[in-house]
Amino acid sequence: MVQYNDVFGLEKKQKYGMITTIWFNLKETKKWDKKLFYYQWLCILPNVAATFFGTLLPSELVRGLEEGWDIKWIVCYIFLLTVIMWICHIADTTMRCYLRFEGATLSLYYSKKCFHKIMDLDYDKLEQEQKLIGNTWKSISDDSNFAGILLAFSATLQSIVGLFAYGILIARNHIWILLFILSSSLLRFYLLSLAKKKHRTYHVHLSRYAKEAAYLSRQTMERRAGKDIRIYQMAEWFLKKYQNVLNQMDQIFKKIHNWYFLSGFCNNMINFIVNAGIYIYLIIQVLNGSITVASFVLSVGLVKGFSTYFYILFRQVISINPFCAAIAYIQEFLEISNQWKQKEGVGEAQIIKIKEAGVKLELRKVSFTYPGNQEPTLKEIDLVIHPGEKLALLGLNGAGKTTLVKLICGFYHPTEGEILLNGIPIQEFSREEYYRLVAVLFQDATMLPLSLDENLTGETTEKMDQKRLHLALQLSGFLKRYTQSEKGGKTLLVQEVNEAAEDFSGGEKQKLIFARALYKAAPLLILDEPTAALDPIAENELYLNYGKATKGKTSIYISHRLSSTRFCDRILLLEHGRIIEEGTHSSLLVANTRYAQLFIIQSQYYKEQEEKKRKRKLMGDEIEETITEGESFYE
Amino acid sequence: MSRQDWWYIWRVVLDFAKHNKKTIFALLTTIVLGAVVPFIPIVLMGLLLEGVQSKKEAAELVRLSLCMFGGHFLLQALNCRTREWYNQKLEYMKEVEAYRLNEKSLSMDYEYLEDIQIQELRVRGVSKAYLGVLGQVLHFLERMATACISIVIAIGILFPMLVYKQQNEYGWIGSVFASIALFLIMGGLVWLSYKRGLYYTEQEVNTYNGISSEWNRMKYYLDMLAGVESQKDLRNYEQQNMIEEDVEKLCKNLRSGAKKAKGNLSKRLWIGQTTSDLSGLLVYLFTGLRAYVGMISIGQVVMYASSIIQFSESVSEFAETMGWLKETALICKDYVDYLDLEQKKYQGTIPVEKRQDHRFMVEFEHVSFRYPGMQTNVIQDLNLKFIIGEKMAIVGKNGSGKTTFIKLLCRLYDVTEGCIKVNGIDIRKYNYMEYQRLFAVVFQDFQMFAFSVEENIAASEKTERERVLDALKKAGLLERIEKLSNGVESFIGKEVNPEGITFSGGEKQKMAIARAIYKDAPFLIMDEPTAALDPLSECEVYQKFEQMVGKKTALYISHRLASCRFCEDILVFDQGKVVQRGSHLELVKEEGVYQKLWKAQAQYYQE
Repeated sequence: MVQYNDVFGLEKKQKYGMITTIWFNLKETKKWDKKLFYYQWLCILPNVAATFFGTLLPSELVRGLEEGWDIKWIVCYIFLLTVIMWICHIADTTMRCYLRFEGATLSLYYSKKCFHKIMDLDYDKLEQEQKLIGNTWKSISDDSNFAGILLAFSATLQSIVGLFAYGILIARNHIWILLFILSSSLLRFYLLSLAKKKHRTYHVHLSRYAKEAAYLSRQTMERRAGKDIRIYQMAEWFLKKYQNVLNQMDQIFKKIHNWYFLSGFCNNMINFIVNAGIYIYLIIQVLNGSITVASFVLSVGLVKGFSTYFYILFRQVISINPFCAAIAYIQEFLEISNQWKQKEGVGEAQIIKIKEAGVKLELRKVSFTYPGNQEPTLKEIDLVIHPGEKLALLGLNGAGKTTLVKLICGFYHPTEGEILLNGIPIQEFSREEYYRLVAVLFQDATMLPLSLDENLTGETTEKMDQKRLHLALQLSGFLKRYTQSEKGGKTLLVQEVNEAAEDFSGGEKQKLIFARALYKAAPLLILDEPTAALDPIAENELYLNYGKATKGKTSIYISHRLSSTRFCDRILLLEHGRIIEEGTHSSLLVANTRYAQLFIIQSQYYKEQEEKKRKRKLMGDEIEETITEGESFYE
Repeated sequence: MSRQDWWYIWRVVLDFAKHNKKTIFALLTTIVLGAVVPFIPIVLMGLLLEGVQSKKEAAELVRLSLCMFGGHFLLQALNCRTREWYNQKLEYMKEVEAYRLNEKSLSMDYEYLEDIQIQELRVRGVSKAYLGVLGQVLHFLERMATACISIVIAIGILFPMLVYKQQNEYGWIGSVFASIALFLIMGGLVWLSYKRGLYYTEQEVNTYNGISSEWNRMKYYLDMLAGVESQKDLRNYEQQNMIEEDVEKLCKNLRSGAKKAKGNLSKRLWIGQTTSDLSGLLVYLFTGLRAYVGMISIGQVVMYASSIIQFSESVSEFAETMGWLKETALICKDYVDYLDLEQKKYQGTIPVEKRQDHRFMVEFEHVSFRYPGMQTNVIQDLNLKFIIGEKMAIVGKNGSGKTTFIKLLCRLYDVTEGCIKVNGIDIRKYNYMEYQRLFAVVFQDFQMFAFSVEENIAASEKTERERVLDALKKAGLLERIEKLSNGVESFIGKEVNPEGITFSGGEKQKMAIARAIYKDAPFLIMDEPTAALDPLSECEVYQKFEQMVGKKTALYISHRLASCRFCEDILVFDQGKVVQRGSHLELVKEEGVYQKLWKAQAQYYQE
């Protein structure tokens, strides 16, 4: 599960700045929905106009009364102004609603793009960029980011236009008032950005605790953790941990908000000076008779409007930050380039030829070091696997088995040496071609929330090859479960998403993915621990069917169960990234090898010899044994 | 809004108020000040204009302005203080909310944890509330209350004009009836906008509920694709197109859902806006006319006009927030429903007999069990009896009910039929907490947490260092831990502490075993403890087993039959029943499931 809990915009510097991001988003918005793009600009006009008419209305009423207009005119005039204002309001609301909802659907647009991108990305890039991917995913999953940036952007534009309009209107009569409020506004701007800066420093502390809080919350909901939590009665421990986090957070919140109060207080002070100053200046002018009452009302309205716009602008500049940060991650992710160029491939004819001839896989002095590691994980692996050969790859945990598989799959690229398939370096194949030749069963399989058939074959029930599927199901031992389901191949998977879905146990899932690998009918089959979740009988069935299932195929079987070696033609023992032993079961057992050592360890409990010894002991000393044991228990 | 909606909101607020009396006070102050402060400049304006018309001294007007703005400043400053105080508490409360939910998740019956719908209940409510459930409620309540007070103040300012003593010289516009008519019309408008607003909110919510399954699906893809694991499969099996097609379909549905929701919101906002503009127009005309006939002065017109603007804004704000509150009530419902989930399990009161000799007799009497919502029994009429001190193994095929048997014994689930007795007493009658102290279980899918090794082993903040070290030693992990620079205080994994240590699967498994040893419970249960281990570590666990178990009852579940050989008593499960029971030597001779299982596995290890 991905977690989405950090606050954006308060973190470290990102690759793309605010302006670039907004520009990028504008371009993408235009591609998704033209209306959305234009509304951002269009809604400036009605918004500013509505505000302006709102300011104008009372002063015009005063003017009409002052100048003694005819009552009909006054009524008509007010009516007219209100209607215009109403039209502007409706237009503004409509467009903003559109921005909000259709803007939110930008998350769908970006999701689609990111999905496409991530499924196309080099696998090794994928592993390296986990952090960026996490942040990108956090961004696309929260649709308020997209409505947010559109609304904030258009509000910024609105307030800029509004500021200009009001500024000009104020400056027409009272230029120094404009300068006065402008300078005070800048001061306020500065004060708030100071508070924001403080916030940023506290955020670093906060995020640490937020992370812990999120971790705890996640664990309390996990059924896996739930069992342990109940049996070991950890609830108290968890709650104490959380309480501690809460107290720390409260302290930080207190500090943050104290700063906001301080900045707010200064802000109010400036407000007081500015307002009092302007009112007094204007009232004296009215008393002097240099301006009319109506113009006094208008001026006060304009000043109020100007500071409101300034406030909006300021708020947008702050609130647009996290949205930009979110989109900057998306931009950065979408612009990752694949390091390994997609080749055009070797052509259809070649693939058919390989399919007929079988796969010969060759590793020439292959070494591999994980990026950032000093020690190579695989060292100078030399290996040839012949067509139709069944190879068993053994090794302790951490010996490098999985890395080797990933190399053969083309997920990683050798640091040194090369991998050839029927004499052709594997990077010569296009990705599609190569995956038609290789079928892999990985330990941690993911199910798609689609039908069983689609999961098994990658095609709909109508298009798939019934015969091939039946054979695959039979050989994998999944047939029984498949036919048991009411809807057969149309049964849906993944209960979290599909209510009608069926639940499959770990063992059943393992058979399912084995069937999937077999259906693929690729000439090279790689199985990574396919029996870990199977019971002995199912495991044995798989072993028995293995020969049939891999008939005519080159296969690699990876396991740390040594029993798996019996049905393979050749055994490779991997240790510390090197092939240390090679041969058949009997040849390795005869020599005093590491393999023999491991085999003895694993088989000691199964051996008849041992059994005899134990039996004798039980028969001879049976009574004595029970008594001693009994005593100790009944004491 | 229905009474039920209010009830949910009330529940959430009450919960908050109980623990934060001061903050409620701050909130109330904020509401009142938030409503009062905007009227100060309005009243000032009116007074100033009147002063100008009655030709007052400049000094007097300046003094008036300074006084009013001074007061304005003081109230604003106070408002700022209370608001920040309240904001701070709000942020804090968002975390407290999570605490409440965690508390509930930790204490509720285990079966709820496996119930997807209940899980959704928790996630859905909280994920929708940007400010937190409570924050959202308070935010909208505050806005609504402020709007209400604003309306009252505005009417208060307008009142003298509205009920102006009737004088015939002003014609119909000056009559009380005109004032009453105005009030009635405005009241009607507010009511109408409120009702329609609610209607559209409901529509909006329905649209959202209509596409919630699509959202779930989208979220599944989102989570799936972010992980590296799924990427191997979908590359190798070329599932990209299939996924993209499905996502395309989802997006289409979601987009049309958003369109519908947008339609409803626009309508709601249109109505609010129209009401506000219409009432604005009415009162402008009204005051304008009254000023025209000379009932009120021009200075008053401005004051009244601004009050009216404030009034109509408050009216539309009120209608809008009612809509939001309605939506929020749904979030509250999820939250409250989750917290109010009933404890189905009978908690029991009888204390568990504390026996030095750890002698317990366990009996299963006609026990059947089926998971909630399932058709078939996982455990079927199980009868079984065993005494402490025996080392038992449980074997069987996949899905034969082995793990369920453990879950029933530890009371993670309660039986559907029949009963389980310990020392002759139904286990449901024992005090639940005390009963669970009898068991130390290493589940197949155990979990270690991203805190210190020591606390993990002790499963508590209070740890006994000696016993922790002893448990680690018995589990064969002491050497590894001692090599670490922070020893037992090292963190597990990097999730919480970036300096934590990443342990391998095998090491974690040993840690889980150490945790079970530390608990020192009379029953030790291990479910497939060696599944993820390579032969060397597996062998190590087998060898340590007897030493670890000591005088306790041990239950051992495994697919590796070799591991069961050191158990005197082996139970063979098949289709939810015990079909065979005995020692390895007896069972291997007997024709049946055990023999089949044994042969299937042993053949590969015998020469």
